[in-house]
Amino acid sequence: MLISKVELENLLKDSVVVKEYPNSGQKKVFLVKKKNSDLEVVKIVKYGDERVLREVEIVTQNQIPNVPNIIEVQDFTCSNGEKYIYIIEQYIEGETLQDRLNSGKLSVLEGIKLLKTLLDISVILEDIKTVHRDIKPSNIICGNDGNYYLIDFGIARQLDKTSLTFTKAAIGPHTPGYGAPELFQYSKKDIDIRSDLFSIGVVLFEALTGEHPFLTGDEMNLNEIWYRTKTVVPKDYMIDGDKNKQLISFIQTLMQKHITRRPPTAKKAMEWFEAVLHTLELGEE
Amino acid sequence: MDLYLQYGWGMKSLVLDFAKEWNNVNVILSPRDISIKQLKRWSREFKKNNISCLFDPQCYFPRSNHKRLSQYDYWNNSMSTNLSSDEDYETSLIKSINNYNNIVETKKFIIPAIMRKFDEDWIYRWQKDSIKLTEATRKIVKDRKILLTLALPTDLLCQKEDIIEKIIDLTQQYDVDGYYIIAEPANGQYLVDNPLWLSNLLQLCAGLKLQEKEVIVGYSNQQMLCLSTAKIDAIASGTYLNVRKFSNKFEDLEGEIKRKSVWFYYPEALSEYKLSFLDVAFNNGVLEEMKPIDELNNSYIDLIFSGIMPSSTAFNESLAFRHYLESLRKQVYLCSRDSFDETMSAHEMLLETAERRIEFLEKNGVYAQSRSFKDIVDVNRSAIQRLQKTRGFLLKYSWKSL
Repeated sequence: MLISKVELENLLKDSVVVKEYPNSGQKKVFLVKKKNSDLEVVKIVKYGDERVLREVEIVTQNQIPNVPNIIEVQDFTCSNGEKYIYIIEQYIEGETLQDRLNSGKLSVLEGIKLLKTLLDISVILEDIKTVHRDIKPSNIICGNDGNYYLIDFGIARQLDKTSLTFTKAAIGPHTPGYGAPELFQYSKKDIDIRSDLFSIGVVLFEALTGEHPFLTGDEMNLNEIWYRTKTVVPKDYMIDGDKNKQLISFIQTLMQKHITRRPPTAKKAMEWFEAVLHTLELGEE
Repeated sequence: MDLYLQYGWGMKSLVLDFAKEWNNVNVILSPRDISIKQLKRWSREFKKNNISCLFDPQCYFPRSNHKRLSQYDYWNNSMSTNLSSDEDYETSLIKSINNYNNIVETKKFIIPAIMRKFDEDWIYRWQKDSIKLTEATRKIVKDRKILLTLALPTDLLCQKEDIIEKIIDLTQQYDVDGYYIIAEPANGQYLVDNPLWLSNLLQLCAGLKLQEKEVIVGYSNQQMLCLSTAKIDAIASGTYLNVRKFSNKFEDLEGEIKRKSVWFYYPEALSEYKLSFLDVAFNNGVLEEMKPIDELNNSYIDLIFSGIMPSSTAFNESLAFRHYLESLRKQVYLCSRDSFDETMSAHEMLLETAERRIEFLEKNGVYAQSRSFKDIVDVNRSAIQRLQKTRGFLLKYSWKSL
């Protein structure tokens, strides 16, 4: 345990811990309520973690819409003498897309809204030469305000900065099943915004069809997940209102295994997405 | 897509004649078939007739001792060794080739390439050569568009798609205006029956076009009409088979060529028939069925349909060549449409028609033998279907900007 609930409350002074999220990787996450009733997310990470600094830098130095703001970053020393950093983030009230999908797929209109949000974000990430590398349903919040938010830039890669992954690493950071083949085959040179476009395609396919495009859930190990991600061609699914199959073709294009077969840039993807919207025949939902 | 003429032995008068009939003629000159003296003289003549020329240095097999090629001062039998060892070699090679481009007054400069045998180092060596030669060309050639030759050995084109995607990926860094693709046919076939070979070639063309580069595929025939689905800029074809398919022999063919038979190209069937089989068609009363539709018809074949036995007419090789190129050019235009979907439909229709016409003629005892498109229809169909699946969306939405 990085820090206890009581220690955190003592540290923040004006906040009480409302919820402690399950441990995730190298960090501890709490939901706290301030005296003025505002809710905030507090992440505790070990001091000196370069990835955390990169994450903070990406979010604080760029106005990325639909990405929670970082309110405060501070280092502190715990009772055991170890140094940590706490990051206070804007809390988005809602549920993760993962939880939402457990109760059924999204409507086409909701799917389109989600797709537009993720593409908008990726256009900005492309401009600032950053790849998120971990776009997946559990990193997307379906806000109670009706908007979608992308969280967790913990493994984001800034393309104009030195990679933080061991140079000879055979597998780059990603979430199996959502990461593009070039991430797990770890061809650093090939990684750019098109890797995020792949993950956006997988998320959208899953959100609109209720099924993962490559996985069945029976995969026994990582190798099988990677193998299926590399080889399985997603089903030709009929989406309501997508009579000309342009939306599903677009999503399938985002999910192409070879990076050279995906849209060349996020801007281009956005442009084509807008063209696809005109082909849809959406009734009242 | 346009049709360029791939210059071959004895094509000069044909090129000049087409210049009078076609609005614009583009010809890829071949030092293998033209002496330096002729190059100088003919270039002036071509220029007077508004013919645009490209100069293909034909360095595919540097160790071969080709009679005419070796007269050109860039030719060096040990070029392959030099390419990898002497840093200045590229500069002198490009300078020399540029001198010939100056003589011909080309608008586009073709950077040469070696047709290397495929092995595990192929990509590495290809990349190394390409980078060196492209850099040298950029320094020397200032007033011309630059086309890099991609000389693709058959074994490469029969590999998994991954390697083709790797090539597409690597070319993204190249500072060139386009590519001149030379594809060595599988098993030396005129019409290639290996679906992977064609599909890979089509994927490569599409991948390069999607980078908004100019793409010209040399040594082509009617099978390459399918490349219109990747919206490439041109295919180049010529008279004898050695300019309609790339030969790995690359030898002097003058003597051999004179013994060839006359083949009549029936464009709707995408197949060619010997005069003896046209006689069969005549006897069976189906010869008129082989007359091309108005959009594809031309006066070069009037003799065949003059009402007498085709073999007893004066229809000869020269007329057969002119008819072939005239028909192919018209088919190139018919296959090039305003959208990806329309181009795909046009090509599907082309294949379906060919399938039906071949079947009809075979039922009447008329066979195209070694130049039949019968077994090739599915190869082309398979390649364009694969293209639709892999890059259909990208091509559809980029079509106008390509």
